[in-house]
Amino acid sequence: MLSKELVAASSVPLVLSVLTEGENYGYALIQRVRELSGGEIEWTEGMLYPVLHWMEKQDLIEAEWREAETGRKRKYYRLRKEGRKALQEEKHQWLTVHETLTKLWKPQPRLT
Amino acid sequence: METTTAFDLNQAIQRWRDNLAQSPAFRSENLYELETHLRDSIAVLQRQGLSVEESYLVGVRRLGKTGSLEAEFAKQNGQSIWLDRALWILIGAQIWSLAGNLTNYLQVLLNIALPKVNEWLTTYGFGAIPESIPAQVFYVVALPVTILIGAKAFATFHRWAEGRGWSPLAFFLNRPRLLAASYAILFVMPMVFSWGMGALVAKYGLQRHFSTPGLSGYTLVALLVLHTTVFAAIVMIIARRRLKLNRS
Repeated sequence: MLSKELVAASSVPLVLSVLTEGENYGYALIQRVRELSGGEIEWTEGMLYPVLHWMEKQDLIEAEWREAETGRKRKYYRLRKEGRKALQEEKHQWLTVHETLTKLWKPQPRLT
Repeated sequence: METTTAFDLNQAIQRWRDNLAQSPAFRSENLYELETHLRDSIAVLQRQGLSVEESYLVGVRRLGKTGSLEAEFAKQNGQSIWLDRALWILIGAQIWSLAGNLTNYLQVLLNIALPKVNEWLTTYGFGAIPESIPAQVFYVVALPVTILIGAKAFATFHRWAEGRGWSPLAFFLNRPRLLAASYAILFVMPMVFSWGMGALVAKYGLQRHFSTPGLSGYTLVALLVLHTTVFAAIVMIIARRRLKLNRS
């Protein structure tokens, strides 16, 4: 299981990345992340919504209320142009961290 | 014999939602979205074999603790929280003023009764209460007691009303005009009380214990009307803005 801090730090790039697959709503977003991470990334589900609302205010995503098959209205989120740009930046940063750590943790050749 | 009661999912969800709605951190749209999430979660858990009650409990737990949710939503809905605080500061200041006036009244009544009390005490061989003590000490002790009794009475009434499906606080807060009118009455009451107290003090010759404003005339009335109108208007503007934000 990932630490709370890492889960919080990765929430924006994860949401942006899942939304590149198409528009989605909060509950399904969480299920998708759970499925992709093999249950390693566990969000406190209610905490996702303030993140989504913050992303909406930053114009990274946009939302629309539509009636779901259950008869209740659901808020569907989709990526905006600014969100795609932000995702590119996020990708660059996370890959830099990943590559640096991979190099550091590569088994070092030993003489004995 | 053991009895079991059927679990009412809709009622449980409504209670959970009402509990969150007590906080200004959540707008009604947020509550609707969280409820939809909870219902989705419960449906999936039931398909996995959990009972309705178990699914509800797990669903609520997965959503997160009320305090943590409140803190996170508050970061996004900060404006409505500040409007709520401003409203309560304005109302609280008037309630404090009113409680102060009621306490003053009690103090006057005590001073009116004091000679009679001292007469009884000396008749039965006790020492008399010095006249200066009640006037100085009474206010300090009685004001917090008045406020505590008032708060307790209101809390009891509010719980009683909520048990019958009516929330007096929500009733007023969701009606800005009615709230502003009630606030205007609350604003005027301490002044009216002061005049009444002035009359009592003069009648019983207690001026040495109390300095009363003794104000009168059209200027004072005009000032009072202006003052009340301005503050009632502020309350109405804040309440309307708060309501608009909470309903967005």
